[in-house]
Amino acid sequence: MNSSRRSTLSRLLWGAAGAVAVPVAYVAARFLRPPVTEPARCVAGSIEKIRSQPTTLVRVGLNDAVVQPMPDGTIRAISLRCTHTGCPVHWVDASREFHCACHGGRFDAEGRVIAGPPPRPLQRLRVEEIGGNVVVIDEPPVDGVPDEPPTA
Amino acid sequence: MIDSSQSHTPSPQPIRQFFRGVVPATDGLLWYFGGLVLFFFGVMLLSGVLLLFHYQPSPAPASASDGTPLLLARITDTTTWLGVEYLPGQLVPVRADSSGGNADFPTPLRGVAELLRDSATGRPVHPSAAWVSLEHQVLRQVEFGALVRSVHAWGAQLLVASLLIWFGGLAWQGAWRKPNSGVWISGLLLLALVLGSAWTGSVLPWDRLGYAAAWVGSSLPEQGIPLVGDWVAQAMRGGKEVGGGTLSRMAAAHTALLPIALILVLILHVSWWRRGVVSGKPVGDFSKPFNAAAVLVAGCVLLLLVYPFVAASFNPASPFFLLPLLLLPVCSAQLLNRLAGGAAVSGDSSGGLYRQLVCWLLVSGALLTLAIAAPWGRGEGGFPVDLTQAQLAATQLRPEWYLLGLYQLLEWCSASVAMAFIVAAVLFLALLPVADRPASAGAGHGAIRWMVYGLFFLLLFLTLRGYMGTGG
Repeated sequence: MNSSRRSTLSRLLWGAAGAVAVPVAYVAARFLRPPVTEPARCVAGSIEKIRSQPTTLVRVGLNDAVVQPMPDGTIRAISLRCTHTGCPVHWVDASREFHCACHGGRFDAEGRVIAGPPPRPLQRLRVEEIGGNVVVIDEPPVDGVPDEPPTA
Repeated sequence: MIDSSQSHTPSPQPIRQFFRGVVPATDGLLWYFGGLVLFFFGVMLLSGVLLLFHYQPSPAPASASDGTPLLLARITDTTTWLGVEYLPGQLVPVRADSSGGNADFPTPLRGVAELLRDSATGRPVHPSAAWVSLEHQVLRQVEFGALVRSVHAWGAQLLVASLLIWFGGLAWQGAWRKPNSGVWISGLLLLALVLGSAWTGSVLPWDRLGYAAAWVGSSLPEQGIPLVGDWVAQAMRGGKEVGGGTLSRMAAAHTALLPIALILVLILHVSWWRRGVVSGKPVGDFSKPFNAAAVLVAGCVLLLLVYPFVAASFNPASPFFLLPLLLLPVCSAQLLNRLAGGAAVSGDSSGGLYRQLVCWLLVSGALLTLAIAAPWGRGEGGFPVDLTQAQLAATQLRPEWYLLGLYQLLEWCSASVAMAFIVAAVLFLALLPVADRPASAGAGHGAIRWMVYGLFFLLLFLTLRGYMGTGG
């Protein structure tokens, strides 16, 4: 009698301890989520200057990006971070390709995958023209086609 | 008390096995406080590791994730930004504009916040990465950040309170005598390591209080220890003066060195305490539990009565509030244990673990209530060190309640005298196992006891005097 009462109490107690552990784990999981911050941005240069060069290399946050004027008059920015595992890609002038430093991914000048493991073309970034300057923002563009670069 | 047949049957539950046979057949309240030291240390480890995921131990100017420098602004009117309500007087970091000399206020802050500038040079204030990561990011932007920070801060207060009660109980029982001298020495080490953790932790926000604490704490060995004092002070500061290097050292000590040392000493402490229990001379439990409980309850009631006279305004970060707060769940756990049939009293040793578990559950409720009802904050003492005197209201900076005795001592005498007193007191306590041998029992024995009591009453007096001197 006494021992069964004790084992019930013991189960109750461990159950209560478990009931405390669940919200603690929940709070910890939510706590570890990074806070919402504004995306990184950079001023690439004046619109005239960007238009006058075929490509302009800029730094957005901790990543490089190229800014290119398009034949239709728009300006496009491509992130130079590989879509495979996030390594930096660099421009190889001889073959006119972007090469990834890590796993051999290769992209053409438009950012399309030519070879290697990358699953998607290089990410396009949002571009805004503010006060006569071109501003590159580290988030997908708002034109609805974030991943596919326009065919030349 | 110990069932030898248990050792032949390997238990599938190592925790229960550990606690089996180690709980004295008597029941008292003090034993709970030893368990609470373990519990709060666990709370500090968990919340501390979480905080470390966001904290940046750097005195360098903070910048946004894209590298834009951050400037300090003061809220002038209540507003809401990114889901957080800001009140007048609060400080917020905001992005600098492209010139770097002005703030690029987000829309919700326009018109309700002013950029802080040095009145002499006109330059804006660059808050440190440490302050921004802890006081802005964790407190206002991270989900449950204020809760985790409050649990860490209040957990520290309650850890110190539990340890003081536990160690005071050890002293009351004369625990330095064999076979418990190991418990005594490791307890003394625990006290030093916990106070060291509290001190190094108070520096980490890199605010005015932390900066002052870094100077005071590192000045004591410099002025009070001959020959090696300078070396000790510079090892603490990471330079001749308190500066950027100090923060790295405090962070290293607080997040790695001291926790590792604490884990090792806690293991030793519990092991030695178990050995005393096994040898039939346990410490940490009064033989007359109800007398002891009565003393504690009466003491707490007395403190609550005295409290309104020594405190101008209600401040939960004080022993007058924290000790009754701890005693309440402890007494409830004891009462529940009795209502449940007194498992521990009847000699079922695993009941000791359950007694502690009940107490821990109740105390976690008290800690959570405290953290939610009284979110941790340091007022203007929590403003970043990067502000100049001209930008601040004159605020008296005072330490936590458990350092008020030292604070009072430093007000009355020079740092070298205060340090000499501390060194002498620690040496006296550490040498007790050697000084108070069974052979010298008798007249000398009683005298040593009274010297220990005298030391504790002196500390109590200094602390109370510190309270009155600083207006609660």
